[in-house]
Amino acid sequence: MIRDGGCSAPPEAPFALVAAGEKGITLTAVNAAAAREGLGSGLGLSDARARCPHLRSTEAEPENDARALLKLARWCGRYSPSLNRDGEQGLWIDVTGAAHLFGGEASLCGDLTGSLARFGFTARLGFADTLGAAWALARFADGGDAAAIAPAGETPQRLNGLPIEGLRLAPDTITLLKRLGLRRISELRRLPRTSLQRRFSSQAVAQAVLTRLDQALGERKEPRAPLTPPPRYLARAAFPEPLISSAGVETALGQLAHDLCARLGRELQGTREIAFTAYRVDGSFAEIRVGLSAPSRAADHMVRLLDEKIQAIDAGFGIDCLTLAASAAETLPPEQDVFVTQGTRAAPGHLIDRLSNRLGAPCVFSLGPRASHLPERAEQRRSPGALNEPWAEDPCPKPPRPLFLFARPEPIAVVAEIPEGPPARFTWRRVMRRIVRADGPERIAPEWWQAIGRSSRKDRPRDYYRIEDEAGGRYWVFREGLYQAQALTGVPQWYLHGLF
Amino acid sequence: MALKPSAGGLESPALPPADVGRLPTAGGAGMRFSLIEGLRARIRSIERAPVSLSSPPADHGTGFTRPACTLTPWTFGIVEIDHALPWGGLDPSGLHEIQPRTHSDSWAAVGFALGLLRRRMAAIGAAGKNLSLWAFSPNAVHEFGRPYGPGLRAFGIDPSELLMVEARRSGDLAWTLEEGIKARALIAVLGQIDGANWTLGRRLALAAQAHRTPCLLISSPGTGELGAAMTRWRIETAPSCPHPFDASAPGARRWRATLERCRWGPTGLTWDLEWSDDAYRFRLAAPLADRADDPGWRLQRTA
Repeated sequence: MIRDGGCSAPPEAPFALVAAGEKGITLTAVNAAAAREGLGSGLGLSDARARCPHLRSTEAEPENDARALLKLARWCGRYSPSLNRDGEQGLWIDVTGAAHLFGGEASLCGDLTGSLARFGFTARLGFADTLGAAWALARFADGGDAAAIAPAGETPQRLNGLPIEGLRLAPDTITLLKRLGLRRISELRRLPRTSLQRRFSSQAVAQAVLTRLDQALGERKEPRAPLTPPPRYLARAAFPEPLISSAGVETALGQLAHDLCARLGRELQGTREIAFTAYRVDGSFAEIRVGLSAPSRAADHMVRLLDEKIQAIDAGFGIDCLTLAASAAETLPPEQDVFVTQGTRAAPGHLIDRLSNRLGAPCVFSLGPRASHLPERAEQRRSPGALNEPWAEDPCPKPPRPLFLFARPEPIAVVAEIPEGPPARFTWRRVMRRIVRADGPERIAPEWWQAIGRSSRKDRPRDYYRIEDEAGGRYWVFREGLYQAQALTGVPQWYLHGLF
Repeated sequence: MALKPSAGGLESPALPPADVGRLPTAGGAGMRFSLIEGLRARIRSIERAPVSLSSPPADHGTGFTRPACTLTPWTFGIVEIDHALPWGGLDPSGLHEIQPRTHSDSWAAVGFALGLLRRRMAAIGAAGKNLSLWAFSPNAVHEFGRPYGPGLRAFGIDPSELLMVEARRSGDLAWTLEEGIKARALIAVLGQIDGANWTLGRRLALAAQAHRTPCLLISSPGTGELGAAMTRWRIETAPSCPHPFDASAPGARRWRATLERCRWGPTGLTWDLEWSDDAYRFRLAAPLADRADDPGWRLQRTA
């Protein structure tokens, strides 16, 4: 499929995109009218003007072209999930097992070319058993029609008539082959492989020619890297009449979720991530991704999760295709889920999914232990899916810890009876509190392995006190720094670190 | 209403007679009596009267068969308080509001709520996980710091059994609480919310009743009361007794809890409660606590 898009000139006038290169301004792409005048990419602009004085030109925008191609590739996900860009001007789509959804290969090609023409793209389609053959058919097939289809099993015959350029070889290799008199693929195929190898100076070139030939003929597998890894489970619904209301989308979503979960259930799988994609008639699409904390195949749960975000989908000019994919599937043994008696509690997985779906996953968490004796490092946020490991008993019991801990200790102004003693009163947030009881100190030194390479001012030991004011409010305060080491590490300072 | 003590709490509930006219009666007086009895029973069921396991209130007439309580009771573990409450503790399917008296009592109110949560966890005590939800706002984290896992151990709560939710907007926080109740997956829902209003209270109370999941709501001081709450506690910190082994160190944490509202129960009762960090339970503070006889301690604090 070759794309020459984005021109504002009338299609019958010669038009070219140009870019400044090493040899001056050269053409990078031409439209059909310019090609009829004998122009082609790589030609200098002044030469082209000499041949065709009324040639219009504008500067090429490769970045925008690449972005548009990516957008188009994403849109083509409606045909099959396995697809990617091919070079700067092509797309490949693996429609294995998907063509029947569109009424056969011919009508799929018709649908695709029709849509692309509607978006303003000139496209050529090649349809064959292998990627290499489809590539060649799209670029070099005879005939003016937009789609060149090689019926199943007839790929070698269709390839025979194509020029040697259809093999995706390097330009100097093609020049060499032509010099040898091999202009068509059929001529190359007639040669015995061993004699072919002998004609090339380097083994690598000969191998490349044979590899490309084998790949085009389907005798050798060709690796394909799709844009996104295709999901193992995908449910799809196409609508002859585009949907424009969210009610219609919701109805379709229920059916899709039911289909998907039925397939997951048959293979005893559950999904950890679902992606709901709505393809609009104008070539754009909207995607909603929802993660699940535990593998699930409950259709109503999926619908509830997606329902909240469905309102955000802008139907635009209408949605004509919806897909629901389970991108991460895991084994989920069957479980009894209908005979839940009153009094037993449900599994929290669905609740966690709904909360993290609406509030954002980092906002829903559980606290996990962490091996550090620095108070602020002694815990970490975990995802609530890891709820199953309880906190172990502390091997060396510590003095009481506060219920709330400030991420940054808050500086306080302290009056102490003796410099090394607990505070007698302190001021925190402009309120003075008189201390009645105090417990401490508990000295917590910085972890030396963290302190390597840092200034000694930052790593002063802390003396923690648990104190209670006269109203019964309890605080966890510390004095950072030692009075003996004042000259070296500065004046000790007081902070409030937690509340009991 | 008087309740006839039943042999055990597990018998099937005595349904109120729907059609009292058909009851066999000896005469007109008996007929009227049973009619009144039946109507009373129906009213009670409509009002969802509390089921007391420990203290039959004695202000009503003749006996009814007490409907059995299928829910695990949620007791304080202190006879005086449990007997004063109509459910023999807190209603295990209701909304309970906990309000600190001043801003500085806020974290004490959370401590009180966590003590109740621990009681609930201990009462349920089934094998496996007993998850609870604790929802708060970033504003609360900014004011009082973040909940600290090692500190939760003092309440006997395994932090991995708490599902923490930090909701940025108060609307999201309210939604979280309601979802938590409706999920039927939690043993209790704990929420710290600033702008609690009547509608929120009503919604949470109805959800808690329908889904049998209790909700503890810690409101900010000075906000109006939630009409639908089963109980409303006002919490303030109280000076602790000296530590038994170190007279200068703080002892067990102590709160003064006032029962300001209680549906079908007494109000205005005040207890001084202590929390034992070792036994994980409440106890009544000794009446002769340190400085408790000083009438000016609250004044000094406000001065």
